[in-house]
Amino acid sequence: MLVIVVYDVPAERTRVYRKLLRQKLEHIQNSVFYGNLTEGQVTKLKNQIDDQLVPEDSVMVFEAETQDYVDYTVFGSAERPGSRFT
Amino acid sequence: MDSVGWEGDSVVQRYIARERDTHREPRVRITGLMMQYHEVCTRELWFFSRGVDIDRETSNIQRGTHIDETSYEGQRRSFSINGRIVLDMLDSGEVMEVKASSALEAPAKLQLLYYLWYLDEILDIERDGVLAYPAERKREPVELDADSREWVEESIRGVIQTVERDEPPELEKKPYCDSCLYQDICWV
Amino acid sequence: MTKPNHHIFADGDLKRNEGTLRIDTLDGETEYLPVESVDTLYLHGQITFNTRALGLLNEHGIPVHVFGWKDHYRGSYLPKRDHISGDTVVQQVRAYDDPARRLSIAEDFVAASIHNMRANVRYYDDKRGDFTGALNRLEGLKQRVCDDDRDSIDELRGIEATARKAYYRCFDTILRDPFELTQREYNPPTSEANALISFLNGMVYTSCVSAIRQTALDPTVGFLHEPGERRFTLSLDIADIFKPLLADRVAFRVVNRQHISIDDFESELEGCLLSEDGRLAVLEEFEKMLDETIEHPRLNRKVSYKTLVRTDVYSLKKHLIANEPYRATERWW
Repeated sequence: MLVIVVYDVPAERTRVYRKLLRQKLEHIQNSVFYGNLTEGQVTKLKNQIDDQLVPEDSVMVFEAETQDYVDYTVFGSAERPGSRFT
Repeated sequence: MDSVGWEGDSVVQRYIARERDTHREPRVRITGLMMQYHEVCTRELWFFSRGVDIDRETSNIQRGTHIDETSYEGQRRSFSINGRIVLDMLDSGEVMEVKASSALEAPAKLQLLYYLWYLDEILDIERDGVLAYPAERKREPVELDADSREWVEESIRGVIQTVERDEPPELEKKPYCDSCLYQDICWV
Repeated sequence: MTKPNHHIFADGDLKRNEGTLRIDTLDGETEYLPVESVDTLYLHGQITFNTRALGLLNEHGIPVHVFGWKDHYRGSYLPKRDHISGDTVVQQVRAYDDPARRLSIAEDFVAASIHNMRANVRYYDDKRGDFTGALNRLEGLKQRVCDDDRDSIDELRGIEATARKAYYRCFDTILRDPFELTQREYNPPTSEANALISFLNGMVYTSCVSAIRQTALDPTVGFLHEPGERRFTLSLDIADIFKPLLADRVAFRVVNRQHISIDDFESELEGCLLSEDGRLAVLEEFEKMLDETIEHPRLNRKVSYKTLVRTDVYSLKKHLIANEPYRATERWW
């Protein structure tokens, strides 16, 4: 399923989530991650976020059954997310 | 192959004798997972016994693993018995089995009963068990009695019989095929 | 769902960083690859990497296929498997060593391969020309594989070669001008169409290597191709089944829909090769193809072409350990 994760956490805690999320998702903007995961991977991801959470952290996980349901437009110079080429 | 004495009741007696002798490799090593598979699908058990390795990305499996790893941490400890079976013991002394969902209750129960039976028959340790479904906040006590003892022993005979076959049990459509780890090898 | 592949065309360093893969390109860009969401890594550029990066790829079971100058396939780094099943390899070698069993598996490969060639020709029959002759020829050759008794693999290879020749003869008509294919030539490819097909066949081959790695079969023990011939012979065997389904379909598509042109190739002394832009365009189509899904009659769900390669290898593995029939993938859709 399509997953987008955004977070808003104190500066010293960004490293914690960045590390966790970069292993599974594409880091598309400062605190925004994007990718396609299996249901099992999503469950694991949420559990791992939950394990890291302290009161001042805020993390949101958006999911869609398939990528087909989500349209997006890219403005500016960024590459379209989901590219398989570097 | 010493097939003498592997029929009928003596199958279980022989299995007990071999398990008690820690210096000998049992002919068929029965794990808790194999007892579960025996109850769910003997074809699955056969593939498992042949070391058929399947991609573990399948969602149900990953979820199960994660729940098992993280639930009741700090209250339970893992024990390896003679290096043959691994079970979790609560601080209170009960043997615990953690499952993702109660959808397949009988296999989970059989697995736990097998652990209790093993402790009792092989090591002379009497224990009670508890089956836990953390996602559903449910716990169920499990005890070894005459009926469940018979169920375990019948299943041991069944496991040995399946594992010793040269070919897998025949293909059969079951309601949980679609969520089975072996679906892709079983049906292709 | 299978995970996507990732292709690195940039030159630079591949490192392990904070538990995932990091690429520092020579252009000064840094990219992170989600290590848990990559199926296979393809290195097309000049990449430097160290044992820590390899260790991480190993932990996550990611095979790496390495391409060298002008994207010639150089080899693969295959992560070790956690649960090598010795039993499976023993059964595989036993089947190879039993002439009747070996022949029967090889016949399944060839029959499926010819079936899939014919399916492509049938698709273009009337659309791009009259292929009645080739269709009958291929039909007859497949029947010969299935019906006749034989005692040598060589004869089977002969039939396969004849079929492939008849099949490739249709390409010139199927491919939109100015692409031409008068004769299939590789090593080196002598024309644009040959270069395109060679490049795509390489991709099918590496896809099969990845799929075989996932099943604990030994990629070096093939049945139709002679072990030790070159490369991984089992991958060559499986690739023959999928070349018409994946490589040739993509070739027809990119040429006929004009995703690439004759200008995307470079002719040199060593033969004809795709330019980097051309390779990228072709790979994008190839990756799309791998994602395309079809309803599987026995699995009760839609599977992608990429999964189809894997289920083919599973079926072979099941045949080897459980003696149930091997169903080589024949286009049913």
